[in-house]
Amino acid sequence: MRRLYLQFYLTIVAILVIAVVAVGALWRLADTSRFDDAVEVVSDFATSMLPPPDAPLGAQQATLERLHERLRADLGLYGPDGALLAHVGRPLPPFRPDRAGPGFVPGPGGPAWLLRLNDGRWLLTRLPQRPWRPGGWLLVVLAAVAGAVAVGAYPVARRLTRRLERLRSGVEQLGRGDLAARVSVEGRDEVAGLAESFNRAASRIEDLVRSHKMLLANCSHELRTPLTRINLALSLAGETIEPEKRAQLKADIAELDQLIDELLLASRLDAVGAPERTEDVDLLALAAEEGARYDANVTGEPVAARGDPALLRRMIRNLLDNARRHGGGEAQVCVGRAGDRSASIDVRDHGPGIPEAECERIFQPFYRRAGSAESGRGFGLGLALVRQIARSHGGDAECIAADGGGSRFRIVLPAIASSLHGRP
Amino acid sequence: MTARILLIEDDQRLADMVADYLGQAEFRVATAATARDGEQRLKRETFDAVVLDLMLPDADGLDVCRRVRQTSDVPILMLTARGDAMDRVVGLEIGADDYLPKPFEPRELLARLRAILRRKSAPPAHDVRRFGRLEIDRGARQVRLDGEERGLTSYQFALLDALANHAGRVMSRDALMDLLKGEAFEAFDRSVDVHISRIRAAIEDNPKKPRRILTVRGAGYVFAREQDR
Repeated sequence: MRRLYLQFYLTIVAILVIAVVAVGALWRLADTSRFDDAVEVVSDFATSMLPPPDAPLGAQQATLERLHERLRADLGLYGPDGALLAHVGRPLPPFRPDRAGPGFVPGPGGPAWLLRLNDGRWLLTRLPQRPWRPGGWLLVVLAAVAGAVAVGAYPVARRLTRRLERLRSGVEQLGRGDLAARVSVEGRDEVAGLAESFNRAASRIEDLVRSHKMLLANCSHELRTPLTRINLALSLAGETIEPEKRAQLKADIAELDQLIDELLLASRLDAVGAPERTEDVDLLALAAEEGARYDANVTGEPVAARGDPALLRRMIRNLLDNARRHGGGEAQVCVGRAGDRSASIDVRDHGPGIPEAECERIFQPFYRRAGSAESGRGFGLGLALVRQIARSHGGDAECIAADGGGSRFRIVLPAIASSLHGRP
Repeated sequence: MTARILLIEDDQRLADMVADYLGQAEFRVATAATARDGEQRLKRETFDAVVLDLMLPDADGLDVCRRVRQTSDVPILMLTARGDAMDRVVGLEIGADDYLPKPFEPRELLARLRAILRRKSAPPAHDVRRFGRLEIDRGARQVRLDGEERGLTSYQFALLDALANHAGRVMSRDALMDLLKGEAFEAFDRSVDVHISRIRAAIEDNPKKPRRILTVRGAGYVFAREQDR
């Protein structure tokens, strides 16, 4: 298995090898050894020709001048303490005898070779022309090496990151709800391993969701078949049941049916997330239709939203249903625009209202109001579904506290500029 | 003449009850518990209509419906459950004539069954749109509720048709007037509101509490998309 770190490591080793080879080549190219030799030869030559340290300064100066004529080198002779004894040619760079050893001394006219003679004197030699310009060559070669390394490393890094990017887009696709999202597995390293793990996880999620959906579909059907039998039996029982009792039983069946419906819808929305079928929906018209069922007073201006018409209908119906159960009196529905890009649906009733402390909790599934005398009836799933549907459409539902003045629910959805309300 | 119905339903007790009930209503009912059995009987015998359960032990009701439709144009009423993957659109697309969600009222089953049988015996109608119990027959320029013709003037029919064309949208009076420009006015009455109340009197169960054509104060009228549900 080719590991990722190995790839990195090999890349670095390759870079090093290239660098070493390049530097070696540089040294050869510059031919520094010959230059060093020349300087040393000149220095040795000068040493052998120089008169002893106790000779007069004039003799020493004369020797240097003879050398200068032949070699055209700049020469300086210094005492052991660094004091200048004799000098020819251009000025030489200063040096500190207490710190210096044999070697190059940098200076404005170019580096000079410093040599300590056996008698303690110092000889500073600078050849007339520097055949070597390390700056220029070094720059060119290093740039070439860097370029080569960059060119060589680019495809490696690119390939690696491109695979990671593909993996990321696969993960995002899955996150958006496309459970069929898979990524291609390339190579045999960690990234490929990760891609494989992702694919395994994705197919597992897909299986789970599919079986969940199957379960829901079967549940719905299996629960409703006996319910249908009960309903039929009740309808067919004829006059043997008092009308009042029959009505109660019918209401119970309807409630159970609704509960099954809401449970299934809630889990379906959980599993699916965004609505599957969407179209432009005229919210005012929808509110008017549902309002007619519940004898609610509907007003407002036409505004459209994009969404699943059945779910949006359900959302409004649940609010009206809630208003009827917990409010009483004629509910008020007002549809309009909230800002530039939002549509709002307000539903008010004339019930006791909902205190602020309960405004959030009322959206919890099966929430029951504490100490409520309302015939022990909870809110069921209705309001939880309202919020779930609103959110799955990119909006939200909230309860606005009102003391004694009836409860007020507000749904905000993204509005669309629709052709629905233009002149057809 | 009594109609012969084939009921394909795997729940034996429910099948018996439905058969009993439909029997009382003078239908002759044969039952099949599996898709296989049902399809075989359909090949051997003639039925006037099929009541098909969506979930059968050996097949998906949708597939059965599709297969039957390939060889026969017998009316099919599908029994579904709300919240199923199946819904009205899918069911009707694959060729079912109507669908009824469980748990249903027996009376409703009877009404739907009669409606699809009636449609089958009627001469093939083109350009008929159904909204629950309401039928708008644009070919004959007729409106029927439960199969019974309701009298509308030509202008009122045009108005109803325009509303139904935009079902589920709020239509302002101006927009409606625009749509009806080509129609000959009826001299005695030019107000849309008056025509609407005439139409309501004809097609609403309770014109005081309309369910099909709704008024939205200050905005206009809506023709309800979902009726009788």
